[in-house]
Amino acid sequence: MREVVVRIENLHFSYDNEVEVLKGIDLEIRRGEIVSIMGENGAGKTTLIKHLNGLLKPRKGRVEVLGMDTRTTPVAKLARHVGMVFQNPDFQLFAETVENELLLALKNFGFPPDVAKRRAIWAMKIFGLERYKDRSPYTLSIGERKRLCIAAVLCYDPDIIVLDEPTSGQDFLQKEKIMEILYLLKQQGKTVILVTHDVEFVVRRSDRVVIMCDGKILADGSTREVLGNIEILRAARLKPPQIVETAHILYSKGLLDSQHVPLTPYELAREITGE
Amino acid sequence: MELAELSAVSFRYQGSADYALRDITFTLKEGEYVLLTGPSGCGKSTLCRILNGLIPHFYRGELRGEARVAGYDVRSTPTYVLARHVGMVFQNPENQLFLSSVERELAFGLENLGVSESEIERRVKWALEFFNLVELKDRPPYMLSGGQQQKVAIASVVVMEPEILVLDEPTANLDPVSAEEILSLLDTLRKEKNIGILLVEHRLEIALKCADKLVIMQDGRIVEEGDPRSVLLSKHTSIIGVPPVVEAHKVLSGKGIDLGAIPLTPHELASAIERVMRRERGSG
Amino acid sequence: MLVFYLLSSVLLSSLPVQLVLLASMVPLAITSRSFHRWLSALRGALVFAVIIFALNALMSPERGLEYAASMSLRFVVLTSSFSLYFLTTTPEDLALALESSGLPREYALMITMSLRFVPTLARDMQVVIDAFRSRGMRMDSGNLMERLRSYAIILTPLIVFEVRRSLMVAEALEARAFGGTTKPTIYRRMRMRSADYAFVFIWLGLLVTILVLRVQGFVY
Repeated sequence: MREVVVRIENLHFSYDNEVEVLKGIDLEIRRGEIVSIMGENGAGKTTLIKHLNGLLKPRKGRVEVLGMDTRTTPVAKLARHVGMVFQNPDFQLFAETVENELLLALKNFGFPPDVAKRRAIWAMKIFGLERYKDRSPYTLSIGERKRLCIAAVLCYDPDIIVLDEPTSGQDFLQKEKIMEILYLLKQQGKTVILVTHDVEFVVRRSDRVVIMCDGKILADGSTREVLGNIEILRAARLKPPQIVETAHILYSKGLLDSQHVPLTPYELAREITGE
Repeated sequence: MELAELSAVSFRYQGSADYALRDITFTLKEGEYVLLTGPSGCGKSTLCRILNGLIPHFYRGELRGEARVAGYDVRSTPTYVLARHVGMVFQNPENQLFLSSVERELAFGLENLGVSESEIERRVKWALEFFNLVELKDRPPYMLSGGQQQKVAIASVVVMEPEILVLDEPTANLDPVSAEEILSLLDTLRKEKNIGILLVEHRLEIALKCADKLVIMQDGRIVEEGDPRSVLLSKHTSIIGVPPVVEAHKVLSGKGIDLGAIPLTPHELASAIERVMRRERGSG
Repeated sequence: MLVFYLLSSVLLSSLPVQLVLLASMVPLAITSRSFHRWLSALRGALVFAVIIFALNALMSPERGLEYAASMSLRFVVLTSSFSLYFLTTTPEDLALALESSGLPREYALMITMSLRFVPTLARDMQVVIDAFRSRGMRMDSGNLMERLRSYAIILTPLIVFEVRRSLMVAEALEARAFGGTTKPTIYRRMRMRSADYAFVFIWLGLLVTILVLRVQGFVY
């Protein structure tokens, strides 16, 4: 089995010493996994991921990332290994040009100038942003700004990438691009942690799903196990994927055998036609 | 009765070389629920803003063609007059809440319209109940969740009793459960008050079942419009994506299984599959 | 009320008078349930009070310690009466009162809206700082120039976003029929009730009495 890159033990956290937002989280994430963290607003998802690069420190319990204890390791050091992209791209663009935006973190982490430049160009190419090299990030469209934020984090090659709501507000074509990016990350062996509401996106790109509810983990398993389980989804106030819902209606009428829950239209078609 | 009518409308923002809208002809009737979608930048938001006069009064530019809303010519009618007839809700609820309590927010638009105090009281009370906001009436906006904020934003527009409601991606920042709640409230509202609704949405799954008409835009033009089920069969759906249940219909068709009409929800898909399966079993 | 305190404190300079003025605020603070906050505002003013006392005592020894004490107390009276005023009047009420008295809607709205957006801006700032730190940049290290530079970098996305936000807010205001020619109704407007009139008269009366006494030379 692959090594554990994130180990969270009995994590408790509250912002103001009054209300506990995380109530004892235990979680292990292995290298190369694509994990989606889901749950309704207020369940504690964003609070949880902010522990991964030390922005927040545990009140109780322990968070270990790549062997480093987040309580004693500075954020700047953890950030080198954990790239975090937040939901709103406009809060994460600091430089005057697209190229400089990518160079920002590279310079910061001590990459030599020629290496930094090469990496920046590589990242721009992959994300389809090279023609904007010398333009201000603010002249890009929303979808492009979002990709730029991911590029700015990917270019310095962290082992772990955390994306907070990567598909929110995106149209269909933009979401397809983000899916391609995720596929690319998987190929590169990166560990990806997603916080998202988008069940259909998770179905297509995620290996594992962790559902949070009210500061605790309600479910943790493969995408099929968790998103195929209608009771758990209802308990967490999440909408099931459309195909899963369809399949469950058919199970209840005895028309389909519930051994292998279909997640996609193709899988459903196979279950029905038996081929 | 036509509430809004755009004929051969083209618009170019000031300082821009490209036309954001090209030759748009569009109508919205009383009680009609239109779902408008299309890739980012196709002109959906621009179209919305013509309906209450933000274009051309707030956003300057070159406007061609005829645009009539609630009987007024948009070119010569200021937004504060059109706002009486067209309620507009935007994507980010935070930017639509100006005051320090929900109750005052609901009253704000009515105050601007010069409605009498007793009438304001009556309508605010109705809105608080309809939108389930009674316990929150004295809360400030930053203490509300995204879904609650957007409900307040919608309520403060609905309370002005417009004939048309335009919503530009109102659920983009919300979780799916809140999104559904809001859209079903809108549908109830439409049925009760017979208002015309124009909803701009990317996430078709949540809005399709209530819509009378689906309109797809691309590059400033309307490329497809009509009954949702027929539009979903059009080749133009390649740019907007279709919900998984529609995809399933296509896949099963490809395998020779005819499910009949395009399903818009899991229930419809399941029923269609059930019909086919029982037929097969019956005949086998 | 504020006017009374300001004028009396300034026009009368004896120590006992200032003490009385200060003491009389205590019951007001208590009845308006802002005593503790008022007290902490007082404590804040204490540092300056001591400075004023020391300066006066040193610079004009011929006027005596009593004079120095009353000067420093005057300072305390002035600042604590301001703080009492702001503790008992929320800015939204102030805006509503101003609008009810005829201030155009735009100005009252400016006051209310800037306050309403303070928590939003604070939260946005935190998000930008989080993103900044997540890119490996530090806010707390290096010399002064480097730290200033960090702040400048953070302010760019924040300002751009908030300026864009203001455009969206303006749009939404227009959609709510703001800026029309009809005279807006003021829902739950503030009206002067008899209690309010009485309040005004009492304080005016006190002020006039004090002025008369001053002129007559009975107090100073």
